[in-house]
Amino acid sequence: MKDIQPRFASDVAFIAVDIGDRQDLKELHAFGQEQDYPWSVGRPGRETLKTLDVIVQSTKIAIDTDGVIVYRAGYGEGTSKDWTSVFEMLSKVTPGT
Amino acid sequence: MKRPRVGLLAIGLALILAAVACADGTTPHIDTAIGAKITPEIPGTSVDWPSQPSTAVTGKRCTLSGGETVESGWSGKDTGDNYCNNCFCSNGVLGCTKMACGAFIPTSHPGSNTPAPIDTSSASKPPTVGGEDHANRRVGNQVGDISPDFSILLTTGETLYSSTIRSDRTPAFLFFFSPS
Repeated sequence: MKDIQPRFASDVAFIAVDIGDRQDLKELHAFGQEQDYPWSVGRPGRETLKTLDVIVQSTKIAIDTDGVIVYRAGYGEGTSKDWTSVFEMLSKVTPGT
Repeated sequence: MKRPRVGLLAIGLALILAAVACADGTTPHIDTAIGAKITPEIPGTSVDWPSQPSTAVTGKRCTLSGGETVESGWSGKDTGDNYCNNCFCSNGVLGCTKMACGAFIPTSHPGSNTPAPIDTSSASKPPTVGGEDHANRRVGNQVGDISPDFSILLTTGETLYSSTIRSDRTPAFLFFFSPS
């Protein structure tokens, strides 16, 4: 993902969402810096995991500008080629315009 | 003979005073007892609130094109001039599909309002829904659904809401991870 995301950083908000036990955002920020993540890092708000039905790590959800889920994959699902296609679709298409 | 009468009067007065005392003194005592019973239940009630969707408690209402107001979390057809578009109210922000309603009158063109097929398959087949109209979609978690209301607390101090994606028109790719 580190090879793909930077190409689309200006068009697509990529966010790594920690679903572990870490609650402190400062600690999470430090972790992101340690890992040299080029993307935003955060943790789910209240009810978000339940709302989005995220029950396993490495779940990936892409949402277009109209708020429509255009891609969803679970643990071990998806390839670099898939993700590139998703990023290209999200960055090029502006539905409704 | 006078002593018993005085005694009876004294007893009578004592009973009257006791009755007045009960009326004034006992009632507050009961109220206190009731208050003592109710008070411990309040924290229990507040503990239950977090399980409710946040929008149900704090979400701002949205105003439809026809002037009606709906609760946060509502989804459905807009009204007024935008009657043909599906909308979603998220904390005061109304996101709608962008069809030109005059071009899609169901009664005169019954086939023209049929939504394009929605790809509900897994990750191996990235869908190509971008650019098509988003009418008749439901709120859900699957590909093709309008994303339900959610929030992500970012380490920058900002919060990404599902409504932000629509209002800022910036697509998002969420990767849920659990570092060991």
